Amino acid sequence: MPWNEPGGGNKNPWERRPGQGGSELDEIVRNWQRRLAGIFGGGRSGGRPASGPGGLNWGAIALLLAAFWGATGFYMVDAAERAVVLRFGRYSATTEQGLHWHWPWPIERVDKVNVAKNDSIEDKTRMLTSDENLVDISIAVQFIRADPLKFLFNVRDPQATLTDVSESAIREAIGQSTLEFVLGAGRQEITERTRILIQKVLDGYQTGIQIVSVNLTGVNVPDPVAPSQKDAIKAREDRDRFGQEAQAYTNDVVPKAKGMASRQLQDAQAYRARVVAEAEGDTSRFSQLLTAYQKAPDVTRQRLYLETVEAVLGRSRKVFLDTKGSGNVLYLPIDKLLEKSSGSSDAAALLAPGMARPSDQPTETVTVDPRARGDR
Amino acid sequence: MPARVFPILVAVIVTLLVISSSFFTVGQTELAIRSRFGAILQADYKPGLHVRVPFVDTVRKFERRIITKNFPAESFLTSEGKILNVDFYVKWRISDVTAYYRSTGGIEDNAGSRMGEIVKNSIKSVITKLTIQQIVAAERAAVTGDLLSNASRAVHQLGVELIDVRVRRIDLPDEVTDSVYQRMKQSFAAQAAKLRAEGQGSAEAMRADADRQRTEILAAAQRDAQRIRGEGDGQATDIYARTYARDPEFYRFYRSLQAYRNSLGRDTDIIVISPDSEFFHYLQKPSAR
Repeated sequence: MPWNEPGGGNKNPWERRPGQGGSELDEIVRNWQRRLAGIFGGGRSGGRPASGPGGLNWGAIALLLAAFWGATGFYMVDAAERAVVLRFGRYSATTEQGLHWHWPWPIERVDKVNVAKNDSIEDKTRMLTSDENLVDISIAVQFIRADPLKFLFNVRDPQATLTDVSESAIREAIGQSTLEFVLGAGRQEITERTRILIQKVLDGYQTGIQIVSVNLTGVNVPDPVAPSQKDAIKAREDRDRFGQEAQAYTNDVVPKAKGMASRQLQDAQAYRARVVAEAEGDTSRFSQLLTAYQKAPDVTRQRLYLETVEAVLGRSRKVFLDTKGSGNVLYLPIDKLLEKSSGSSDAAALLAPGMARPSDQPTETVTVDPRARGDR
Repeated sequence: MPARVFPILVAVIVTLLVISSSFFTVGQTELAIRSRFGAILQADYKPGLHVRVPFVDTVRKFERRIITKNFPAESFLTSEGKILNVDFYVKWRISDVTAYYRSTGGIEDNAGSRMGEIVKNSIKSVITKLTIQQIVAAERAAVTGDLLSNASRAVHQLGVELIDVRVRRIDLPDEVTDSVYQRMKQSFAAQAAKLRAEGQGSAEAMRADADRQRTEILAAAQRDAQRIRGEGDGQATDIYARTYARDPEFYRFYRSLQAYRNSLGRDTDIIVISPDSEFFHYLQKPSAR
């Protein structure tokens, strides 16, 4: 089945296109089959060993074989592919999408390379950081086979080369970073540095591979260290929490203090208003009294004096003491008087009739004659 | 007829065989040597179709592309006497196919192992001069630069060109790995302790700040309150003074009376009084003036 081997000897799976261009080839083959049937059928049905027609048949067979051979040179190139044509092993042309023909085996062959498809490799390794810590890194590298000639001709197994280079490059980038940087802010930078480094090395080898992207899919400390790391992360949260608690305390204390301050000021203002108002009230009363007093000072003065003494004496117990000629010591049993006042109301009282005053409270009046002191 | 056809068929087959073995192709990715009875006749073939003498000349083909040779973990001693396991790979290419064929018999594994020895020695001589830290952090050029030029000279006789030597991985031996884990744990623990202490410290500072603010606010309020009270007292005193100054004597009298009224005359008081006081003037002498 020679027509199934366009670009025969292809080893790469993405270049194999079974059934590609099948319909056209099928038609050609069917035509040939018809002719073939005519030639041989004619020979056999005739039933005789034809010499003249036999010569004709040989020529036809040769032609037919040549046509067969020629037909195996057709090949299709997909839009995403480039086909590299090799004549006797030597590069002769690159063809793009569409139907093409090449000299069939053994003169030419075709290698197809998909230049548009993103492929990716992944890798996971433990590596050392610059501060001699260990970190587990997973990396995914996406690439395209941008240059089919370089890809085919310069490096044996370019994809394995990419794996080697990626591992080496990420190791170098991590090796120049501290663990803190790798775990924290440095991810972007490490990715970028790795991408540039991989591309540089691949270009040095001329692999024809172009890196589309490099992703750090995992950056972890080794399992035995993970709990400590988690605790450190938690500590960071704790730190923030302490801050928030303190902020909450501040938010509680300061407004309350402001409230208290406001209360003190209001109290003070109230006091000021009260004191001033009292002063105004008192003085107003006094002024009016003074105005009236000035109209008749003597009488008013007497009246005020008597009213006051009346009020004061009216409520109190009194001891009348004739002090005339009393250069001597006078004995007054005040404690007894107090006893009497609290004890009973029938205490002896010497009361001048004119001085008797109706009062709710029992009023006692004791008159002590100083001349009686000689009796004691 | 078969008697006539058979010799023709044989002749055709033999002719085809001779023609086909008179030519050989060299692929775009290949190098070739043509030799006759062991003697090399030509080695600088370009890709394409070439001629040879059938059944006499032998053609050997070799890889033209860059070849990778991986070397799994090898132990090396660093300058501080620590052991490092280093994986590396070598990218190489046949530069002189005649020399290559002569020195290795054209077998890649032979070439690989001989190169491996050379490169390992170079790596060893580089690594013994460096600390782990320098090796890990070094730019590729710093470690592999000298190494590459040293090894390149040495592998030249193999007909081989060293394209690159790169360290794929650097591992510590297991017992060292454990101590690294311990150190990392301690480092994280220290970090955690520091973070918490920082948090507590700044929280304490914030609380202290809040307390200070409270004290200041209250003190300021106290001050202002006293000032306001003082104003009140001052105004009141001023008002009293202005009014009472109109007749100080009467004020004294009036105020004294008020004071008597307020301070004397409780029911428990005992007043000792002389009957000849002003108040009792009429009590004793009703007619007197």
